[in-house]
Amino acid sequence: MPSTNPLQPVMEHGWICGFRNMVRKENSLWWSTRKWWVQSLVWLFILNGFIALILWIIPALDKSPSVPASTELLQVFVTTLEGGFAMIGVMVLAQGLVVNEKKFGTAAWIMSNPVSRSSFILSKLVGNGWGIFIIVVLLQSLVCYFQLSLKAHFLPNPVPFILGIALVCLHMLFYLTLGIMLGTLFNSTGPVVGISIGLFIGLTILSQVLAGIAPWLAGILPDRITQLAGIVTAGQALPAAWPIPVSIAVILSVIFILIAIFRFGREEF
Amino acid sequence: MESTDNWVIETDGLSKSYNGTQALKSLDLKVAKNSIFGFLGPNGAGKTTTIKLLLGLTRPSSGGGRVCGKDIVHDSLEVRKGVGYLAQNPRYYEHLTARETLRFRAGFFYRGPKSEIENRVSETLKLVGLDDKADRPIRGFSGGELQRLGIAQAQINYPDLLILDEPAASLDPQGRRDVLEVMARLRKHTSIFYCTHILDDVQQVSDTVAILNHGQLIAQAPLQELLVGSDGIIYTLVLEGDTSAAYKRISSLPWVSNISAQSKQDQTTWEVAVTDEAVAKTDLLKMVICDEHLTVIEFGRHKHELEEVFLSIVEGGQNAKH
Repeated sequence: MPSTNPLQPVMEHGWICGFRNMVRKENSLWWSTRKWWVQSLVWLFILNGFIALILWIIPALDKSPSVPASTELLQVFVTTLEGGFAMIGVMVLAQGLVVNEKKFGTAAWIMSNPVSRSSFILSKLVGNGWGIFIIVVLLQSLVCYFQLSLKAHFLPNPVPFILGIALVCLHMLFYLTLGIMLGTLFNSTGPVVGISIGLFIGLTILSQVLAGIAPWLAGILPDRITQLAGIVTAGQALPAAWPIPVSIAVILSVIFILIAIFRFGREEF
Repeated sequence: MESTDNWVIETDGLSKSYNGTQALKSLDLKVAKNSIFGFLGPNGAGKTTTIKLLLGLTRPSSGGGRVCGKDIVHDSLEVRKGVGYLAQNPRYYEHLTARETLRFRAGFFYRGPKSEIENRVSETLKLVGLDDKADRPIRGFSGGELQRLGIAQAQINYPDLLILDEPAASLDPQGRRDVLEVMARLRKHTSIFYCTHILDDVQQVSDTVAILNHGQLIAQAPLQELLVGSDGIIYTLVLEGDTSAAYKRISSLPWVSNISAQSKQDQTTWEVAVTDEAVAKTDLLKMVICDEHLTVIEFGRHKHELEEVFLSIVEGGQNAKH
């Protein structure tokens, strides 16, 4: 075969081998298929549709000029819509990332290429984390902010909103890494999405129960992050213990990914 | 001792067990560079397990090996950089087209001008005859087309070694022929190690074969050596006419040890066992043909069909390696 050509061999080695190409592939699944606009429309309908309902449709139907304050609506958007519905959406999106590749045999094909097991897992995190951030968080937040500005005829202070959204992103990262880890532990999507949603609901209930009997414990659960996001979006001061749940979520996310890499590294195809 | 540079695959006591069941028992295999090596065995013999071990898709229970000089356990990534692999039931991303699939795989090996990568992709698609279907999503591909795509993706990095697991299985005769043609075309560029249980295919394209049964290597030899067999030098003649005089004359020759004759309709088949191959090669046909009452229909060194050899080895429990 031709020996002189301008193509250069890819010089990736070790744990990062094949990472760049895998991320390109994960990105292409979001941006080169209809997935990007389907997801954009779905989340536009669910998240901004709700905001539009409150801002435009209900007042028009009730003939009432009163709508909730911008800050209040931004808080609802951050805690209930992004922190609730979108969070469950992340779990649903994460359920098949690893399991489907194992089930359909594409993971075995990928692993017959010069791709490290860690690159496979990290590319799932980076490619899908980016897709979720752009479509589920950034695009929806911009549209929400635009709607509120249009209704209020002024631009609300974006900084608290951005900080609130940043905290919700961290909470999403926690569930995305959890989904990836569970995908390496199970061979069907049922347990992956079931455990994720169960944990989400369980932590919400647990933090409410603990709030009465051991508030310090309720304050360190990862679930607390969305509440912190609501507080910061409202422009209020964060409680002194805010770094604890944030750190715990970050540490657990790292642990989930390390477990996923370890478990996937032991997978036999 | 032969240099490791001569071998594209070497295994040393390579073994694998699953939940206490031994799938592969201490495999010692050597595959020469630039050969088409047929790896045969009945279903469940351990062929696919061997391939998975070579590629690092699974870990050996004991033993080890080298592919292109790289350790299959510790340098698995480096091994995969020099290998192209077609799985038994290949699965690719169905939303991608054939061209996108090749482009994606090429991305693991090369970077450079986009046009050069596209040239390589187009060239490989042409090699397997998929250039006219290059931009169709894979989900609509037939079994034969998928298999050809499998060979194309395995070849896109111009590997030193192509590992093909049942490349022609589940294909119709035309698909099989196409795949064998592609393999024959590739033989001048790379070494090919392939598993199959279709013995006709092996006989057509392989130069060396190994037979695996119940996870154990039971024969490994150049194909021609295996087909000639171990039952001495035998020439086969198919004759028409009165053979009695010729029979007497030939059987009295000092270098002829035995003639077995079988008649069927108007033809008689002789299997002539000889002790001196050189003399038999030059004189045997002449000594038969001089009989004016005889017509020689066929003449040649007796060769077994691979199927015959395979069955006698696998079913006969012949454990000695050739």
